[in-house]
Amino acid sequence: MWRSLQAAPFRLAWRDGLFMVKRILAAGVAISLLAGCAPRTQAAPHPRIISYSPSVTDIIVDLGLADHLVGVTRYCLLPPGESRPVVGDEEKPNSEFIASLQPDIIFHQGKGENFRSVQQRLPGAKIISVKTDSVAGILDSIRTIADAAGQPQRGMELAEKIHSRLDALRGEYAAGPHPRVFFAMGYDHPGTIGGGTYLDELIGLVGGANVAGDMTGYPQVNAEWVLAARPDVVICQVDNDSQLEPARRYWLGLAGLPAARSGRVYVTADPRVTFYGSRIAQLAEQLALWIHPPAATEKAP
Amino acid sequence: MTNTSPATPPSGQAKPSPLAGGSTAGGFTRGRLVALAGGMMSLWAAAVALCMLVPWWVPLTGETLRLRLYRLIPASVAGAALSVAGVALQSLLRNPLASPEILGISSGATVGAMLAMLAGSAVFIGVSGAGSITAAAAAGGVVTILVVYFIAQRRGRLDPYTLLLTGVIVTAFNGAIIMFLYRLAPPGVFREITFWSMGQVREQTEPELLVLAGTVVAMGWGVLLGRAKGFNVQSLGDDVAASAGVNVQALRLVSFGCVALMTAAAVTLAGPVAFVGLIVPHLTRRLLGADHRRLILAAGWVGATFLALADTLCRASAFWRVGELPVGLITAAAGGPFFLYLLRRRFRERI
Repeated sequence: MWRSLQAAPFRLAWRDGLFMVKRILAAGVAISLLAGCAPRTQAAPHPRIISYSPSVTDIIVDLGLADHLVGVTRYCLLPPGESRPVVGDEEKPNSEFIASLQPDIIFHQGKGENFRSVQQRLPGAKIISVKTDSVAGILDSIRTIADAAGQPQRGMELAEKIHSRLDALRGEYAAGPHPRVFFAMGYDHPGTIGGGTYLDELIGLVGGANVAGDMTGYPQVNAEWVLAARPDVVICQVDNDSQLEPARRYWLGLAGLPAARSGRVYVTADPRVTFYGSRIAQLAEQLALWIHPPAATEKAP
Repeated sequence: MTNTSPATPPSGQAKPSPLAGGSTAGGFTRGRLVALAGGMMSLWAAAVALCMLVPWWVPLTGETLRLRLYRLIPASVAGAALSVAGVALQSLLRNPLASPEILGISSGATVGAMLAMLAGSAVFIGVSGAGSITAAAAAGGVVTILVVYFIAQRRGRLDPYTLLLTGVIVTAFNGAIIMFLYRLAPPGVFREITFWSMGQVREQTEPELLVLAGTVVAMGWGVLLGRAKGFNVQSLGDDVAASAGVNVQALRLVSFGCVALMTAAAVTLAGPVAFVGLIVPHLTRRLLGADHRRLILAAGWVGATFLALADTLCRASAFWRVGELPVGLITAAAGGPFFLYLLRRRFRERI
């Protein structure tokens, strides 16, 4: 009897708690349904395009088709003042959300099978995979994207322009010294670029030798590794402007580095350095300036 | 539900080790403890000296030695913190599977540290830079252990298995928060947080952060060492401890507080490194027996040595084709099978 009296308030509290949980769940479901019903369509001319890659977005913008974009990733850079719905991850595309954007073309760089449910929901949409992990791949992608968007001429012109600028750089730096270059992403445990990557190819194109060329992919290294690699030039990409100065101090502070001794440490916060897009010619020209600086600006990055 | 079941000390705890010299809990002098501390410190110093020479194919310069030392010290502090925390938890809960990771303290500290990183550090609770991340990690660890403790206890009694189960559930919950924070992370911060959350000793730990975390760990270690006799009695059961005059509730609260703060310090220095708090206490118990005066004293130095060696392996791995491995990967690779081994052995013992 005494035990049951003791337990009574507990039972009451338990029921109250259960009731509250039910109410919270019901409110959550209602909010989710309302959010799902909200209109998300963006006014845009046809073909309406979704880009699952910052590189593809750059190409589309440079083709003059920015107003056709109806969905981008969180990493894409749009012209100033513009924004688009963020479509998320290409590994698990949300077919319901994509359908609400009513796209005609979806460009991605991953596996086609990831988009099977999207294709079922949008049988009329073109889902196109492009590969921009090499210079040739970028030029092909520009043509593919322009063709799919109904602007083949623009694609041909842009690809030809980039090709001729890269050819000029290749000719200029084919002979002569090949400085050892370390490309760093960050500075505490920096990531770098292995052989066969697009940046490795670009560095080679402008007469540099990637010190991580015998590694694979985008490995993470450490300061000790960089000291042992003895680069003549360090190019460091950081995440934001506030890291520019600390990164510069860090690399210049490694007295054992030939690059630090000669002051050839270049730090940038431009995210496009690691985009494999249509800005490749500008990037190659910038890399050439860093790797073979004009004598007058050699020590003033 | 009470804690009055017969005491089941962690596996191996009751077996005196050959190195223990067959001594019992009461057979110590202060001099022997000092000698043990000196011996353990020498072990750590020898390991650090060895690690300073690895990788041996890189020419030794003052700069290389400085870089290596800058990693070995934070790694050692983090290893000591996690190991001592693991000893305290396994003793308090009389469960060989208890550790800061399993109880969710590491994940709570990770949530706190990630929140501070995302908030931009400088504005967090009025302290700046590195201190803000430590403070946030500590807050995350303390909140988590409080939540776990108050869910698992009933009328002041604590069932160790309920506590472990609650820890596992809270860890899963914290995992969901961590995934959500990843989604919120701006692209610039994402890479940094990703590598940190794998468990990685930074190359440039700020001196202030090292001093702060080191002080927290030293104080926590000292407080727990001061309660070693209490742990010895408490390992026989709550009722036995109470009848011997030990305030079990106070012992628990103080120990959980120390464990949370030490884990937070470790997480700030090296990210959420898994399984150190599980492996090292068992290893030390095997070597030195179950007396907590020896165990708590030695586990810190063994943990410091363990993580210094593991981080050196990672540092050398940068010279492989795939680049540097995070230290959390090495400890998880060693700790996962070890955890399963303990689980199987525990299961066989209970049959």
